[in-house]
Amino acid sequence: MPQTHNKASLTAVEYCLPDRVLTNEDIAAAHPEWSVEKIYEKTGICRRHIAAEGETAADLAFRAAEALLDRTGCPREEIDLLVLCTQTPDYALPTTACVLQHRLGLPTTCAAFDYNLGCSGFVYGLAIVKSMLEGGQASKALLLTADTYSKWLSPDDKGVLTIFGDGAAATLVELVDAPDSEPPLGPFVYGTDGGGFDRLIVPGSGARPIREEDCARMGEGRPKDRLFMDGPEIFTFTIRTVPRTVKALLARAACTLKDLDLIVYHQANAYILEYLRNRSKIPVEKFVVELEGKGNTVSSTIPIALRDIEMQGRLKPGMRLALVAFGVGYSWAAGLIRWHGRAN
Amino acid sequence: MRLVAVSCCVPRNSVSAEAVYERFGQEEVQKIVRNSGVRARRIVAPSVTTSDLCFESAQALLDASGWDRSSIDAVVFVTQTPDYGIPATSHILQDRLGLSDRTFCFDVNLGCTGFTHGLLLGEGLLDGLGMNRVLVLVGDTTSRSCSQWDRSVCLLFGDAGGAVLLEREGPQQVAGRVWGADGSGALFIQRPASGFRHQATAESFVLKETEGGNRRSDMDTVMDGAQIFNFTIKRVPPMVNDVLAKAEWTADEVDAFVFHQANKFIIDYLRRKLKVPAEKAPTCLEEFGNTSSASIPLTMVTRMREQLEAGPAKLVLVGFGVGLSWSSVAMQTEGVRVLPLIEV
Amino acid sequence: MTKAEFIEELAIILNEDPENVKPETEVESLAGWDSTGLLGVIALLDGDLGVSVDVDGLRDCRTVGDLVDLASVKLD
Repeated sequence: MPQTHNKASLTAVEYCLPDRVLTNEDIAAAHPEWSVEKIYEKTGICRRHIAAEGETAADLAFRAAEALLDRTGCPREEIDLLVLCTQTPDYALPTTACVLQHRLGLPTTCAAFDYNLGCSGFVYGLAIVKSMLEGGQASKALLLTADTYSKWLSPDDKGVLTIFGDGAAATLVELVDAPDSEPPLGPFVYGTDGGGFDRLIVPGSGARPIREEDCARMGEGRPKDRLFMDGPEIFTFTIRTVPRTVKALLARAACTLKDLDLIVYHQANAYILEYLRNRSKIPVEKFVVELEGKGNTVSSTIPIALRDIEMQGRLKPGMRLALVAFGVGYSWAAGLIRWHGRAN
Repeated sequence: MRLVAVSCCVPRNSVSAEAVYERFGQEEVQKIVRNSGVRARRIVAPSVTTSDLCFESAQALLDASGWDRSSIDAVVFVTQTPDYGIPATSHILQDRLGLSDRTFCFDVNLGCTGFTHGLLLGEGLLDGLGMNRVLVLVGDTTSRSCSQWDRSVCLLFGDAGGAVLLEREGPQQVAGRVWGADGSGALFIQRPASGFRHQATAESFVLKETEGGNRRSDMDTVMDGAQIFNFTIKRVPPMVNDVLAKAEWTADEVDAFVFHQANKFIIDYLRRKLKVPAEKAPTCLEEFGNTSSASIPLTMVTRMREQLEAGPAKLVLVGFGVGLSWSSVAMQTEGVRVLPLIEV
Repeated sequence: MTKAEFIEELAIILNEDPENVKPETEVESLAGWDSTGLLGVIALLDGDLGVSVDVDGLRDCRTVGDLVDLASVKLD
């Protein structure tokens, strides 16, 4: 079998959640129209973690990365690529990844930049990092995903308050030996539909002056500097797009669900996960649902779920997984990974 | 990777240095212009954003190329002035440009090094992921994130957007590449309250008196010119020598060194230090100012069209700045299609 | 470059009559000691003398003599 030293692999994940917890009881106390049971029924979430004032996504990413470097013993001087996926950076200028490069004590030979994606961010991130490693531009990368969506939420918007949680994950991707026939990362399929840009948006969050047409779906009186999410539209997009994306991935990889050990979707909410599982006829035992205690942590849901199932012993080296991410943009991506995992 | 074509778009509105004689004093402005070399800058209308400028550039490129739009595999939008923090702007561009729904799209947060980093990202997508065609879009509307009462920045920065088409087919044009980051200087150029490190309040938009009688708010760009200059002269000459060594080129055989158009003082200094004659270091900052990540493609479009279209050209592209970050690409281009400058 | 030559170069960069620039001269009193002048001094130290500049240390200089001290390792 042809061997090569130049295949990118995901070898370890750590994550960090802020200390403060927002429970269903807390939400029900502030919004008596919703009961604790109803919130859980609609979302499958009991608790979300919320960043403190003055605590940013980059702080969470820093702690996750420190934990990852400590646990793996990976020498910092060997990291030559740091990418941060965030929609809640420390600054619009400079790129927050450079701030983290310094905080983490990484060498100046390490390239660092932020990229902006949401729910689809981890799978795209794996693809970007794979492209740099297998394209010969780097050899060891830290892929950080981090968001504090809580800071974008309106306290009156219980629809989003119940779903989103803050958190960060740090993933080590490095070059390993692997046969050409079984790449540790890939194949991938990607998708974009910018026509859906205004279904999950903070209209006043960038350089575009607020325009009526961008806010048409929001309705009267909604603050333009807060997150707006069109739940029904996003649900429609998801059920229209995700099942065929999974099909496309399996076709690209020339395999079936039977050949996969586990399937990890972006942990949007339990309701939609169950719907999608049924649609694609994925057996319960292969389907990962790990959002009860964390909520939807945007681009970190998949790496957090991976670390959780690894710690539970459910994820073992050699396993083949499909990762399926979808959401804001609209943007979606799916990819196969073979879990190489380190011993600890 | 092959550089197929380049296009840029700038606002028609040109503001000369003379226009602010009254505000800052003629002598003072003339002194600044002597140092920076920027006699005029292009400034966008309030409703126009970087993505609009990049849209025009990309639209022209795609029309001129005659390529089927569905053959574009990826869009990388490099900017520090995106339309929104949520969602990413590259999705909106996918929709506006009529690209396929299988396109790989993401925004990257970088400034001065945006083009050279963008080329390396594009190369990674082509070589590492086996894509065929990538669109890299760059630019900023920095005028809108500078205080017009701060002569240390407002006389320097102009607005522009650029686009390049990259293709895998054909000879490998990239001969050498170097990049790096040093976040210890991250705050030497920053917009303090532009993210979540110092979350903006009403107070953040208030102009405050600062050194030298300048006025700026915490949302405005603040730059420590001396530290940036010092960083540049330390990092850039070794980087250029490094990329020449990797390419196995001598400085003499290089046809053009295209520097990020930071300011005349810096470029002259670098030129002298690297012993590059003026005719081999084209500049466009006199007419357009420092146009962030668009400055290198803008120099190509406005100063190098004949040279690039005529035949083979050995280029060293040099990016340095915000982050702090740096990158350089040595590439031998061949018959690049250079579109005339678009003005809106 | 000698110390005297260095002071002369400084004077040129800072748009001062060299007669008026002595080691005890306070930098703040020099008309050209501003953001532009600072760049010129950095360029002189780095380019002409090959001195590695620390900008904070440069900003701490009170007199022309302090600037000479920064460069002294490379001056005759």
